[in-house]
Amino acid sequence: MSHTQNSVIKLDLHIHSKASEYKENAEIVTRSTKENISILLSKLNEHKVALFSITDHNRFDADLYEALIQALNDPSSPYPYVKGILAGIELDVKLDEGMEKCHIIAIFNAKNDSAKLKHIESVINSKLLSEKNAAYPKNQFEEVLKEIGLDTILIASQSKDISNHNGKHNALSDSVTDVEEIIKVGYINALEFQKPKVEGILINNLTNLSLPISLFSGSDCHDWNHYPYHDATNQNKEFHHSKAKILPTFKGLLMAVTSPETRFNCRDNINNTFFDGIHFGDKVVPIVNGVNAIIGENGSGKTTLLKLINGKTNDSYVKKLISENYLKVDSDIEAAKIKYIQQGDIIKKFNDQALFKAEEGNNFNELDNSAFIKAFTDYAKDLKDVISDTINRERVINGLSKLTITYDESMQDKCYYIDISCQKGFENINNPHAQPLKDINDLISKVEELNKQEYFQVYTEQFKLLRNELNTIRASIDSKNKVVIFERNVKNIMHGCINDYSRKIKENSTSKDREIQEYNSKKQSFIDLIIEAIKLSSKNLNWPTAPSVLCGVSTNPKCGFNFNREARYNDVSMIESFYTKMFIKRYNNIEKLKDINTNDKLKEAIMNCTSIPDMEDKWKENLDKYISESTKTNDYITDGTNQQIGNTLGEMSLSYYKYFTQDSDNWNVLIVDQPEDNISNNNISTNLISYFSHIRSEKQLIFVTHNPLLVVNLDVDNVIFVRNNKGILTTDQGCLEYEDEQANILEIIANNMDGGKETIEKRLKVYGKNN
Amino acid sequence: MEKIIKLKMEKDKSLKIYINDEEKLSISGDNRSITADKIYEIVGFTIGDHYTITSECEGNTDKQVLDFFKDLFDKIAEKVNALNC
Repeated sequence: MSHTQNSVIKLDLHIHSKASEYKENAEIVTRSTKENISILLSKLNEHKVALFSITDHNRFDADLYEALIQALNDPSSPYPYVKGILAGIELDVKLDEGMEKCHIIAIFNAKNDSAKLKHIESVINSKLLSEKNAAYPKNQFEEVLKEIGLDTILIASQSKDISNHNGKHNALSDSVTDVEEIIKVGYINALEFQKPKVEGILINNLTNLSLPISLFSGSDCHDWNHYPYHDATNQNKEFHHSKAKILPTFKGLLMAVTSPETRFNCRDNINNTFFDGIHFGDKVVPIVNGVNAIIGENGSGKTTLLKLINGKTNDSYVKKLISENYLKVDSDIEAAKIKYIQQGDIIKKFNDQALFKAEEGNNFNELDNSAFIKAFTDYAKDLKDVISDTINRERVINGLSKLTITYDESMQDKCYYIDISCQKGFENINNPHAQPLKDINDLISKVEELNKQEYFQVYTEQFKLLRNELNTIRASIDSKNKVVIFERNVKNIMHGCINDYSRKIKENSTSKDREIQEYNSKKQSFIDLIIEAIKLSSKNLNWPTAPSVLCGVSTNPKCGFNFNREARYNDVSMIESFYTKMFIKRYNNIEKLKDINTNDKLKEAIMNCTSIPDMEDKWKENLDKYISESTKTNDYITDGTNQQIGNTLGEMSLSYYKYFTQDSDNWNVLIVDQPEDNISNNNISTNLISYFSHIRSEKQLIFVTHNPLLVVNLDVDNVIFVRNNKGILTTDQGCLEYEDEQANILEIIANNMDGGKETIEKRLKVYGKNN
Repeated sequence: MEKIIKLKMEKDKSLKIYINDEEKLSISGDNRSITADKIYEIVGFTIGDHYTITSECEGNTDKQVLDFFKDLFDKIAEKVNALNC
């Protein structure tokens, strides 16, 4: 671990020394002195406590602090685990009038500065409580803090339920009537407990606060020989140290209390495939297995670093920067384990309507429009048939008036040859069995197909029975169908033979016989037309009913979202649209179509049709166009509650990240160039940050950003600040709380990111502006 | 089933149609006409049947009429029999 990076450390901010003896009855602190600091440090080292504080009752021993600091600063310190000490005091304070006192631990940002330590001691001594049970009233307490004048973190003791105000435990709830309120306003920054069961009670209490607040455990050790217990006799065996992911500094502690959700109870990142650094020549800038933010001015080379990490180094300017700065990334991570979202990727995908589609197959299932297509194809056919029937009826009835035949007595003479008349349409027999046979065959095929599917294997016996029944029906229909086909074929044969026969007898007939045959033929035509007219007149014109409203949506549930593909016809009546596409305005409903009784009128009615021969083609063309437009789909996504997510670029981007971070089984590293693009600050704060936080202990995140919310509020693990001076890149890097003589990460953010200062102040507002 | 269609020209110039020796129709010599439907009906065409045409002319009466008519039936029978093969 680089010294610029924080790690999960143990801390104990509640240890006493001899300075507390005025309040103690037994001599439990007499050996907790400057002379015995090795005992304490050894114990702390043994328990791997990295950060601690001596917080005496209303006292401050600057000399003791100086001795401890000196011991820790010794390069050959035998206490490698003990990294830092913070100045602190446990103060007795009466906060609300009429309430009892409570214990508040004040931790000061003294930066181990001797003068500041002496100053704290001096202020305390000037307002010294001498009585054992004395406490500072609230105003005096505030005066003390003000006079000390250092950034301060206040941790109140709370050893019981916050609703317990019985005044017997020096707890915050003994001293204030409304614990929630004093936490909400930020007066108290954290609560201290000592027993695990109290931690559980407090977590439960504070759930209703909807305000994250840190909970610390403190050993309250008085006799260092018995650390981490109180003393030789008072031993809380259940005590365990608080752990936080921080640098062992005041600022680290500050980060912990301002972002307890990301700093406390951290678990090690389970991700085992990650980048660990970028080589700048001989220098390696660490990339942590957590959240990394690369910041810097435009043109500073941030995107180049992302491209380098991701192996996308073809652009000439990228090549140039890499070459001039000897940039290199050692990695054998396979491409499939890295998700790289370049700047503008989401916009491009959004514009191409390819968002959510480019990853491992399409999230939107194909839609089966066959029911809709069949319904409207059949409807159009039925409509066309009935219009044709209307036109035919009109034509035939009108044709009758033009047809005459004069009765001729002489034509009643007998013919020599036998005259055979063959009615029009003799062989045209309606076959009512053809379509049912096709339908039953389709059904049997479908059943066969299903039976082959693995899912239906358990129903094999039932399928067998079903197939038998269906085959029986098919055999029956097939038999009837064959009879009709046979009749049609025989009649067709007869018709052909009769025509040959008629020609033959005509050639051999006398002129008188021929005349009789022609007369008879004309008479037969006359009869045929009358029969046809009667048939058509008596035939019911069955105008089809409009297809019912159909479902045209497919849904694919995935990662808490539903990916829906919806056709235009879904759940709405399309009949109006059908008429609009098929016919001109004058004929755009079925009642108007009933007026069509000639082909001229039909030609006029059909959209874009200019001639009768074109009618068939235009009809089909219009129908195809209508079906094509009606089956166009719209893709949309709903969340788990079936609430549709917005269609704006920002909303879609946000959902994309949500989806992405939830669908994270097959990758390890997420690299994003400016995830904030198109997303409002409000959505970044309330949503995007939580999406990224969700995967911070499972993945490595590396992103370039100009948005301080994504650095400060996301509480990134590592900030890499890049500068570009005439092509030469330099960096500062570290966790948020890192600072040294050259670099102060929070200061870099404040000075180099738009809104950085305000974002930091907002997070740290209760601590003043000098952090 | 075997079906024998016999066409017989009687002396009175009527033409009789027998199916398996059963008289099905008589076309009068005074009105020598028939419809295609009627022929189909009396023959009773059925899938699988086989048709043979015979003829008889009493005393050569209007023999050419009978021959033409038989020729028609021969051609129909030939083609329908082929359907049933």
